[in-house]
Amino acid sequence: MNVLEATDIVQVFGDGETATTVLRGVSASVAAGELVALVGPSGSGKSTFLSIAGTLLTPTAGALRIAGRPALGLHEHAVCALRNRDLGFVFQFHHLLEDFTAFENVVMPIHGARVRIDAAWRARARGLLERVGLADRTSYRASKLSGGQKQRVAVARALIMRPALVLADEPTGNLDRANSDDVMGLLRELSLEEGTAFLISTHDESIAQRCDRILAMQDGVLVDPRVATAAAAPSPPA
Amino acid sequence: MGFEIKLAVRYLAASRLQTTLLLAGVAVGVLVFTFIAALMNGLGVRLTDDITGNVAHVTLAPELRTPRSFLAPDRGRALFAIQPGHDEVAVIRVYRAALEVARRMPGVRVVVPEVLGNATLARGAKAVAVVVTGIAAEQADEIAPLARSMLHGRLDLGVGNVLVGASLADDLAVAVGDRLILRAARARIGPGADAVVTVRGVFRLGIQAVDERVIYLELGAAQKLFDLASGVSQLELKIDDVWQARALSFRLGRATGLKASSWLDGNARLQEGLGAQASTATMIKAFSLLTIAIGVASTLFLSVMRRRSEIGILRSFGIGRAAIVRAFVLQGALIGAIGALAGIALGLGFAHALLAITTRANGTSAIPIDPAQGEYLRALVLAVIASALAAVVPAWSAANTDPLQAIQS
Repeated sequence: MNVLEATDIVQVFGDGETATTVLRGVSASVAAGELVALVGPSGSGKSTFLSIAGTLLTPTAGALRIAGRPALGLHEHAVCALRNRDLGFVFQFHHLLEDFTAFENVVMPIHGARVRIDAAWRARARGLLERVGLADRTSYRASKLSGGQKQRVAVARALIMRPALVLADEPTGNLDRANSDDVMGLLRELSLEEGTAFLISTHDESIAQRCDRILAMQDGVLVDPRVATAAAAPSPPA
Repeated sequence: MGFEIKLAVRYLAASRLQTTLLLAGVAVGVLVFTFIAALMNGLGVRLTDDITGNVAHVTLAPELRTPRSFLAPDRGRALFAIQPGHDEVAVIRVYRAALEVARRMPGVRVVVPEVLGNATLARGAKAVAVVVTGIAAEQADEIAPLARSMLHGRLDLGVGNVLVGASLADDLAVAVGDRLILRAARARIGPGADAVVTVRGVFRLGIQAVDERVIYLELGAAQKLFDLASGVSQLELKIDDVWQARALSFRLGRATGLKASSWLDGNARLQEGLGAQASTATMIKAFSLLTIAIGVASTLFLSVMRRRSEIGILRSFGIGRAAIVRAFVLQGALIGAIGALAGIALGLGFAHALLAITTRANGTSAIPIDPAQGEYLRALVLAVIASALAAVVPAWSAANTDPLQAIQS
């Protein structure tokens, strides 16, 4: 089953002479539990596509289905419910709530579901924090954690609701190589354990190579990954 | 609501200095509110007490005959006219029924029958026109506070006794124990038109017209002096709430058939003054609330700007606009409540301190502040409402944060 189905997605910013077409009919899908890398040079449309896939941006044209359900043209409540239930986000900058503890940040999405945070939820949050190696940091304020630890908390937060799909926009962009490898390894393991699909936007070739599949984007269209890699590679010296 | 409360409290606690300054601003606003209320209400109460303490709140008197002209049917020319005599004494011949009706009326504290009449008080060759107030000895202190206004002698309206105002006593050069001749102004011949009275007390009510011209006589003696048999001139009433005097006088007039007037009828200027004072106080209080609202709104706007990315990430989790609005409005309400409680404590302390500093040896205060009149509950409720309302616009701005822009910024 596909947890993401995007069909002929077009995104135009501005209008008239200033109109800029960022996505030109992108069609892509991600299957349940799949780890997919989205690569391409800066300005190719990766982040825009990820935003549309996350229902944070409404495309100019096209169709989108998340977890088998239509995801466009929904009422505010339905969009909120869809994001809360079916999607998780990990951004380049962790975006934790600095005044809350690691544990409180992880359980934050549960408030969006308007359910009581009972013992089962608390156990899941602690389990996820343990899984990302922060069992001893649950009561630390986010502001007291290191960059790598914050990104791990962000991963645990993205998974707390058992979403069908986690959208990760340059999740290792602010981390050093060791932390990047740790986080990627973690995503891979959690994808298998939780059955959650990941769509990871990245510039990092080594990160992309650790995924099940690579989607390459160039000038607003999906291309053969080999073409995209060649285009992104530095030109040989003359 | 638990999440919104948690978010609101945590955001306020996180920016301690900013929150403390904001709370201080709200507290000062509420301090101004309660201080002005205590001062203006205290002044109003003092002015009102000074006036209503000396006079009847409601007076029931017989209708004077209305001047009437009888016109010739064809030409509109007056055939003759009836006018009330200028020295005519209006009399309620049988007053006990009206007295009982008035006494049973809810809100009425006391009913005092009185005889009023013009007379001449003479000592030797000197004679002064006076207004005689005849009142039962046991009720002498019910309308005007005569007992505490006695300068010399005592409040004793026994047979043949009279109480005179201080200015009148000076004018006639009389003292306690002196004997005077009292003569009713209305010319009549017969026993009782003259009376020999003894000064038993000299009072000063502080109202010049009364201290210069009024004497108090026992009710029966006054009835005899003015030949009223068992009739009285009017019934004077004290009521529980002086500001209900007009409504109560209307009901009393209908119930007794007598002409009822309230103390407010003769004190229009006081009413105007109190009204103007109340308006001024309301404006100052409104400005203090406005200051609170502006402070809360500007601070919360800054908070929204600073936390845009956090709000964006909350929105990306599926936390709806309404929850964001509630969290920020709650911050406003909490600031209003805590700041107002601090302001009330400050206001109470300040009012009591000022009262203690300005209280004179005789127990009166140079500044008419009344700490009990600080409208503290109102200040609390209005401060919370103003702060919560002030938070609505920043809250709405927060709720409409575009999650994508906020996250990318």
